[in-house]
Amino acid sequence: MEAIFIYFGGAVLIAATTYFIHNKLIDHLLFVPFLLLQVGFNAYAMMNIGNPINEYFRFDELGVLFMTVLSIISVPVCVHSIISAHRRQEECKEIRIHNAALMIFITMMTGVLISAHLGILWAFLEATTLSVAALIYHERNSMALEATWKYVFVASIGIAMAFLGILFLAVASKDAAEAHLSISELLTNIKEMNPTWLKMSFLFILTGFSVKIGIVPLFTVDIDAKDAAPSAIGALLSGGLLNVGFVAVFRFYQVFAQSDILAWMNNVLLLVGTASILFAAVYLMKVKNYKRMFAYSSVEHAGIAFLALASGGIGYFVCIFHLVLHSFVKSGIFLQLGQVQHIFRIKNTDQTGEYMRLNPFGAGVLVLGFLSITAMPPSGLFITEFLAFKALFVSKHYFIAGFSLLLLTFIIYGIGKNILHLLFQKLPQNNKEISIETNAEIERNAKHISPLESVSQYILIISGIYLGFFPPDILVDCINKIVAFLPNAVLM
Amino acid sequence: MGDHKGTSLQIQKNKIMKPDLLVILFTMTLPYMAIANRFDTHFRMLGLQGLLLFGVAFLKLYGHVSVANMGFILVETLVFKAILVPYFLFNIIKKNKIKRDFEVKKLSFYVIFTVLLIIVSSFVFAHQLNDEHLEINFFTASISALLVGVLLIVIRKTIITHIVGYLVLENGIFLFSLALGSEMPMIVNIGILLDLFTSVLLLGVFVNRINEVFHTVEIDTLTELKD
Repeated sequence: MEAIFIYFGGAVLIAATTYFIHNKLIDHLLFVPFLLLQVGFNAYAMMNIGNPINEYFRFDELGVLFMTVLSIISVPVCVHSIISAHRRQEECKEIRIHNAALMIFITMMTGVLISAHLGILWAFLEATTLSVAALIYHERNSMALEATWKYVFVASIGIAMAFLGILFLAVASKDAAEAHLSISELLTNIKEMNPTWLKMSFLFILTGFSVKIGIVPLFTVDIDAKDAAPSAIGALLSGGLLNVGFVAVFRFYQVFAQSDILAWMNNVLLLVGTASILFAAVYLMKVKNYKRMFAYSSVEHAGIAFLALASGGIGYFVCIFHLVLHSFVKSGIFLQLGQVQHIFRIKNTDQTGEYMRLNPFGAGVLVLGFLSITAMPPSGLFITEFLAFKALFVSKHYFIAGFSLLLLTFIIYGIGKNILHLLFQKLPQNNKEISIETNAEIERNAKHISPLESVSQYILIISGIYLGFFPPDILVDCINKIVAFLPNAVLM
Repeated sequence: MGDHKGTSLQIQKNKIMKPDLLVILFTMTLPYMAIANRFDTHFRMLGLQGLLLFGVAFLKLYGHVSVANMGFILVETLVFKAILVPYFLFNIIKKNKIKRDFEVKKLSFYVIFTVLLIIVSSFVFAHQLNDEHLEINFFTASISALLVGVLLIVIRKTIITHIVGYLVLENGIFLFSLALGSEMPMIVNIGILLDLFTSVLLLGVFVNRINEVFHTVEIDTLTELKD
């Protein structure tokens, strides 16, 4: 318990210090104690998996696995925020707010991952909305304002709906015994609860948390947020918050899976997963903005993860594994997009090109990232998607599997078209909007970028590939333990 | 003899003490809010809802929860929901010199019809659930408030009405949590308060910002982000 106090107290203290100190250098340097605290707490959590703490918090495999992913991604995200702040010559005030909000954001996400009480989980998730709002609004232009407004508003509605879902669950638990919201208590009485309440509860919770995951129905604001926020924050939204929202839904799923509504719940998830892939495919066919493109790709991958979850059997394992690999790959890509945006200043791919020549080392990241995210064979995601579709076929969802596979080809086309344009197309010339000066400026911007800045992205994406082919035993054991007590789980 | 009198008094007291009347009044504010087009009417109704929730919270939870928790809930409803939120919203419209939501009149008939439909169908649904622990009035009122809140958000075009819709939705959920109040821990209250903070402080700040940047609170101008 003390460790949790130290972690939250320490993190809030460091964030507050960052906010109140008016010195750029110190504000950046404060990331070091924060990340040390984060990693230290993570190590502590790993060593104490399974030890009971209290009613409200618990270190279990699911939370600790995604906490580790979050901590790993946080390090390059912080580094790249510093680089971007330096490059954009930001004011001290912007940096203070950004860095403090970033620290609180990471802390609150960790809070969601370790909570064992559904009320606490909800409160932490609510707090992520508040902190991420400051990050989306970071660039302080009208677009950022619009995105922040939409995100805050829809996320608040979502979170209110999720709260109603939790209240329904409380009513259901009241029928069985006394009202209680800690996961272990719920698991003991779940069988006596009224299935109608449980179904309503699940629907509201899934709808509410879909803002955080970025899946149908409330995914649109998530796309806007990833577009308007700085690229490093986009990496954290896609690689961190997506998992956190998933864990929140999965906690409920784990409990409800022990009741009679499992089959119904799986049908809902199949619907949500297929619809997510469908929307992603439709938008990816016409999208030009490269940040939005990868945001839609996150919708697709979350959809695939839900399809795997809903098909059961090997699917449970694949779902979690897929999300872990996706986090590494997608955060690597988003961090790289920061450089792309710095060079071209424009997010429309039609007005970009020759990235391979301008920044060859960085272009390598995009090539690898493209292959990985579309799940082409050297990619780790190829293996998980392959297994996900196997799970779908085994569970006899032939139509959904076939339809999704068809949609995936559209998605590969959509992403490929834009990425190849960005990498190899000649820069537009003799255009009214694009003058010669713009092209000269692009050349100048490209010279600012050092190859060292792409190293973290290579590490992230290559580890995504490596983990797919040679998953370490500790990871496999960990995921096996997470899914072991779901009905009909098949372990690896 | 005396005993008998005592029990009948007890029964009478229980009847008076039941919060259902307030819950019904709460439900009656909903159709009015849905058709009103002046912002100050909306804000007064929000204040009234806060007062009603205060009464409901008092009657429902008195004696069931600790004094500190009771005080917290009462302060939350009376001070926050009934006074501070409407005051804050009044300030926003004063600052931005806006009074009403246009293009409402032509909708009025359909809207009031929809709201009544919402209330009736929530009531029927609550009966269908057939749950002995469920308080049907609470459930009807809160689900109706939730849907009317969503309706306000969907059919209206200004950010202020959107915030009002959100607060109605929030009040509905709060009402439902009161039905469970005696057993829910303190954390739920903190959650609600946090939610109110999001809605009012952040949204309030943003309404002013949006008015500064876009020079309007019409939602149709927020269309810069698209594919």
